[in-house]
Amino acid sequence: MSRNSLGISAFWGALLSSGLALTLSGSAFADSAGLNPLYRGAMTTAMGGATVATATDEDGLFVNPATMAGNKGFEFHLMPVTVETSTDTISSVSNTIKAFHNLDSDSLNVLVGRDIYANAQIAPALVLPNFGVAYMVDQQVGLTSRNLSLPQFALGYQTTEALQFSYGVSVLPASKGKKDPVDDLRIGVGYTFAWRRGGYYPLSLNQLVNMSQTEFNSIVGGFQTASAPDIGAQFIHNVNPRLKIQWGLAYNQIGDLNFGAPTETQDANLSTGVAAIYKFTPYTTGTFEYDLQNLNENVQFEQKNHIGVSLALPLLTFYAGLNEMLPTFGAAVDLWLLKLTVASYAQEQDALVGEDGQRRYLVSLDIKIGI
Amino acid sequence: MFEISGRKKFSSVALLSIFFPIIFSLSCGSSATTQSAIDVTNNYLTTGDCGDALTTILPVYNSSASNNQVRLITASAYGCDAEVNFFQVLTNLGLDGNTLTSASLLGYLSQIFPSTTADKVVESGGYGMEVLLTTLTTGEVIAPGNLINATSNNPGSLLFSDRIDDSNLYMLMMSMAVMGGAASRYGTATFHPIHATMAFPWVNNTTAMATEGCTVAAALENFLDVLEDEAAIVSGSASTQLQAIELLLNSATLDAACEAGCKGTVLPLPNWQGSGCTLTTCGNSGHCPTAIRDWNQCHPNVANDPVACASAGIINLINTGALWQ
Repeated sequence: MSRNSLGISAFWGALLSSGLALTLSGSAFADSAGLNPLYRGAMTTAMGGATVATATDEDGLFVNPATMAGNKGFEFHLMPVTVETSTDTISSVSNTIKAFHNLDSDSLNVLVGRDIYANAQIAPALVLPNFGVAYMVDQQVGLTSRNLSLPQFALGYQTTEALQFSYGVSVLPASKGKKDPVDDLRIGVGYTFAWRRGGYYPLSLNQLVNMSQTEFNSIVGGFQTASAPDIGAQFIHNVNPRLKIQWGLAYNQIGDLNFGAPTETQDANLSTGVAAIYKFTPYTTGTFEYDLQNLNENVQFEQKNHIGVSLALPLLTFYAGLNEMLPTFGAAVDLWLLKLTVASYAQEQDALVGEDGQRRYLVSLDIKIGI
Repeated sequence: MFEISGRKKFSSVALLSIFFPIIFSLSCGSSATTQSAIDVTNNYLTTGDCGDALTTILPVYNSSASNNQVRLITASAYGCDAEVNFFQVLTNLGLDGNTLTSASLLGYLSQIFPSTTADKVVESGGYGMEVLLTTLTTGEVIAPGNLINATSNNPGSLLFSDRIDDSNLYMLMMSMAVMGGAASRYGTATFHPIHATMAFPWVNNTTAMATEGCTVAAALENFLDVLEDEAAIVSGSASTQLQAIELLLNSATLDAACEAGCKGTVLPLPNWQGSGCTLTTCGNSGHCPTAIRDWNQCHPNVANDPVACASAGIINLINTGALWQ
C-alpha cells in the first residue's frame, strides 16, 4: 500500500479521484446521512419531496402504493437515469483533483468544509392499471469534512439495489361506473426487497490516517439484504370540475429495512399530505401540496415539513418547494417518449435545520413507452 | 343520500388520519442541542474562528450533556487557539525530515508552532491537554490514583491507555504545540536549550516556577506517553520522524530529572540549577509523579509541592539539552 508524506493512504486518492471522475463524466454518485428516502425521484425532489398525495406513475410506485389505483394504462419507463452532485463538488473540481494527486496539508485542508458528493440512480419501472414494479440501482459516494484543528470526516459509500412492488385499488363505490368525476378513495400495499452495501460513516482520526482498501472494506462491509412492506391510502375529492383536493397517507418500509451492521438502515417513513390541484385551462394545471413526513422519527418538526408547488403547461412543468424547510426548484420537459427533469434541493448537514444546508443539483432523463 | 353521508364519513376519517400523525409528530421532536453545538463549533473551526468555537462548545462541555465527542471538539477549539492544524502539523513533521539530526526537538517544534507571549498557543495547548485527559474509553475502570475531576461532568484519567485512541493521537499534537510554543517564546527560531538566548526560567520551585512551566512539563510527559503508540499509527515520513523522536526521548531520563527536582539535587549537567525542593522522593517509586500530566495539580512555588518540584526538574533537564542532541 503506498502512502505519502502525510501518512495518509493513497487509497483516499484512488477512491475520491474515481468518484470525482465519475461525477465529471456525468455517471455517478453520493449523498449524506439524514432523512433520505430510498428512492429520490426527480419530480418529487423538485416538489420539495411533497408528493404523497399526488404522486403518479413510477414516483407513486415508491412514494404511495395507493396511487397505483390511478394508473390509466400500460407504461414502461425504460431506463430513468438520475444523476446528482453538490455545489462544492462542482466549485472545487480543480482543488479536489489537485488534492488527490498530491496529498499534503494544503490540498487536504482545501477539502475541509466541503460537501463532496455524487449520486447516480437507475430505476426502470413497469406501471400497469392498479400495479407497478420497479428495479432500482442507486450508488452514492460522498465525503464531508469540517474542523481544521481536528478534522471531522464522514465517508459516504452506499450501493443499493431494490425491487419494489406496489398495488393499489379504489374502494369507494361511488367512484365506479360514473361519467362525471367523483370522489375516490384508494388503498394500496407494496413490498420492497433490497440489497445494500455501505452507508455514511464518521471516520475516527485513526481511520483517517490509516485508510486502506482493507480498512475501507471493514467500514462499509458487504452486501446485505432486507425487505419490508408498505401501505398507503389516497383520497380524492372533486370540489368542482376545476379543483381537486387530495389527501395521502403512506407508511413505507414498515419496521425499517434493517440490513444489519455496518450497512446503513433505511428507516421506515410514515407520511401524510394534503394537496390542491387546480385546472386553470384544459392545458394548464397548478398543484400545491403540503406533507408531513418521517412522522415516526424523533427529529425536529422542521425536518418533517415538505411543501411543493407545480405549474404544468403543455410540454413544460415548473416546480418549487421546501424540502425540510430548505428551498427546492426544478423544471421538466415532457416530449412523450422522453422526459427530462432538472432539479435543485438542499441537504442539511447539521443537526438543526438552516445551519448548514448544502445545495445539490439533479438531472433525470426518462425514456418511456406508454399505451 | 348514501353517497353524501359516505363521503362525509370518509372525509372525517381522512381528517383524523391527518391530525393524528401531526400530533404524534409534534410530541416526539428533539431539540438536538448538543449535536447542534458540536456542528456549529465544527463550522467555526472550519473557518478558524477559535473564539466563537469555544464560546459555543464550553457551556455544553461544562454541562451534564458532555460526552467524548463534545470533549474532543472542545479540545480542538483550544487546539485552534494553539495553532494546531492537523494536516499542517502532519505535513510539517513529514517534510522536515533532516531537522532532528542537526537541531533539537524543541527547535523543530518551535518552527511548527511559532509563538510570542502576546498569543495563547501555550495556554490554549495546556487547556486542550486538560480536556483530552477526560476522553475516557467507554466502561474503563480508572484506578483511584489516576482519576481526575471525579465528581465533575468530565472525569478523566492520567493514564493514556484509559483514554480513546483519537484523544491520544490529538494529544500528540497538543503537547507539541505547548512545547514548541514555549520554545519559540523563550528561545530563538532555531531554539536549542544550550544555545538559546534565554533558557526556560522555571527551574526552581521557590520563586521561578509558573503555570507555564508546569504546562511544559505536563506536555513533555503526555507527549512521551502517547508517542510510542501514535508513532506506529501515523505512517509515512511523519511516522519516521515521530519514531526518530521516540528514540531520542526515554522515560528513565525524565524520571531521574523528576527525582532530582523533588530532592533538589543538582545533576552534573550543563545549566542545571537546584529546584529548591527538599523532598526525599517524588513518591512514585522513582518515576515522575503521575499527576505531573495534569498541570492543574501543579502548584507553582508552593514549598515541596511534588508536582511543581518534579516539573522544575523536567525544566532543568530541558535546559541542559541532554534530553535530545
